[in-house]
Amino acid sequence: MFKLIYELEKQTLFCKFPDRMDSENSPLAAQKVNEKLDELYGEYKDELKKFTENDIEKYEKLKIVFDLENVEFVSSSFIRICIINAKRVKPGNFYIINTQPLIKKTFKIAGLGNLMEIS
Amino acid sequence: MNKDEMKANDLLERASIAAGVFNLFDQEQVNRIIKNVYEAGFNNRVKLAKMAAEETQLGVWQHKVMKNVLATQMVYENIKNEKTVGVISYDKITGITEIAQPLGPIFAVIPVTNPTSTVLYKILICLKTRNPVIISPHRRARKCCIEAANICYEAALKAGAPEDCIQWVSKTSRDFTHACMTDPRLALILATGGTGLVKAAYSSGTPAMGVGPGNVPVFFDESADIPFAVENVIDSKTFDNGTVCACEQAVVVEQKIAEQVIDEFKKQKCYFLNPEEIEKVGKIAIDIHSGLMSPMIVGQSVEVIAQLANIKVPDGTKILMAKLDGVGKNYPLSLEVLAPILAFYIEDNYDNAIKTCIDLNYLGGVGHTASIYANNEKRISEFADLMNAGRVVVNTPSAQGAVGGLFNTLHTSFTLGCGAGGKNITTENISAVNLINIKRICRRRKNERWFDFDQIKYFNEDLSAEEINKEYNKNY
Repeated sequence: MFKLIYELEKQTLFCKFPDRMDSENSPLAAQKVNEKLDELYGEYKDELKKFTENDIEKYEKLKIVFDLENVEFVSSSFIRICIINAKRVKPGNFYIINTQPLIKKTFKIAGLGNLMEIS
Repeated sequence: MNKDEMKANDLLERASIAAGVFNLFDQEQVNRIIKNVYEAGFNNRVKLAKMAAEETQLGVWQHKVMKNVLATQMVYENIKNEKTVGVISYDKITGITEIAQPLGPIFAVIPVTNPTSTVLYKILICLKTRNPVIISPHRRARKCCIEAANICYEAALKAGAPEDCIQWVSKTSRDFTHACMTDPRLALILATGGTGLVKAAYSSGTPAMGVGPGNVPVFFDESADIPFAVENVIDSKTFDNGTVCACEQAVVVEQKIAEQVIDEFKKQKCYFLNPEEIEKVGKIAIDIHSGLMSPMIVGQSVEVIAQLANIKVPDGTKILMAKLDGVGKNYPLSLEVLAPILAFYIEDNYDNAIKTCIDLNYLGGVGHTASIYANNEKRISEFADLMNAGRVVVNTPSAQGAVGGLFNTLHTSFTLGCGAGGKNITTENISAVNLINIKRICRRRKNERWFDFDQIKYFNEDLSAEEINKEYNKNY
């Protein structure tokens, strides 16, 4: 259902989600993302970022990309997950891509246009 | 009381007295007054337009004549039959009588971009609703605005209007404007102008009707009649050198029709800037620090802009087109520019094109206007759904379309409400209907279901909404 791919060279985590990101799917997605980051960086178990001095450089370059190609519905819990992940990485390194127009508008109305790149 | 406060006090005192006298007028007298005022304004349309163009050094005088025509003839046509005095409706069945009451003194702030036309329009809608009006012109349009107000005032007096029903401010200062706006005798501020001014009006504590900034996207659907669409966009964007805030700011097209659209724009004498020229024009059009358009290019012709930017364009160029890859502060020309400069976007498919329109819309034009050219109902309704706009104009030049009266039946207006997104109270085209308070006389009409229902049941908490509702509507 969820597809998480990490591209080592670009230090980018691509995440693809199913059509309905409701309050049931969203926590699962959050868990998957957290697990993956934990596996990669070791310090991401908690929702709030924690990392050692040595990780800073790696962390600095980390990019997270949420691909919403199939997503037709987002709940507020999913939007919150987007915010958490956007704050986790360096400003500008969190992207939402392949939105459907209505989903894009949802993010704009939610006021996230300045926090993350939405395309 | 300092000098500014004293001046404001005097102004408001006179306006209040005028409001008192105006209250005694009936519909017929009011109609006679606005007919006289409209005719006087209309008869001076050319003189006022030339004065405005000369004093403000922006726009095209012929187009300013058309604006004055809109502000007089069209506004008059739009409001002349409207009931704005006393009983305006009565419904025997509901028992409701609606009575129009004037608001009181109105402070009308006039922008530099449409000076005389906004004065004429505001005076007409204020007088139609028996509200005295105080005209506060932009400092760069003082002379022409005062002349327009004076012409109207004389005509109004001739038709029997109360003394001081139209006043104007000949010398403004921040303190003076503040003193006027916060005076408790002032009923309403009609704030047309920049964001700062509108905010000041809203913060004054006096009710205000303002406008929001625009950033109008225009989407060319594949079903659009392209030569027609291009011609319309040019008509709108070149109208008074693009000073109307509802004029198009960016054209968005799909890849499959892009070439055809570009050819058509070129054919109709629009010049596509190269990347280097885009940077040069961007620098003079937008102030990088504030992200706002620079006043020196507002309402200027292509020749003047080309000269300022130090670029060469073919003679007779109507619009400078800037093909951009993105939306935002890094692409200055994607922001609102009230001059004949038009951003141009090519997107690979329909969804992406619509998404670019959303970006442009949310970049600084929320609640204002959006425009689409299409001959496909589904596309039109999808587009309208996704835009946050007070007006979505279809197959229409948006500057003239949004103002109303020419291409549609919207109220002819020079103050376009932009709703909550533009920090306004309404998305309507502000007109006379917005300048009355409606008092409702409510005759006794019993709600029979309520009285037939055994109200003791409300005290029984065991009864659910569904059960009560069933009982309440029984035999109804």
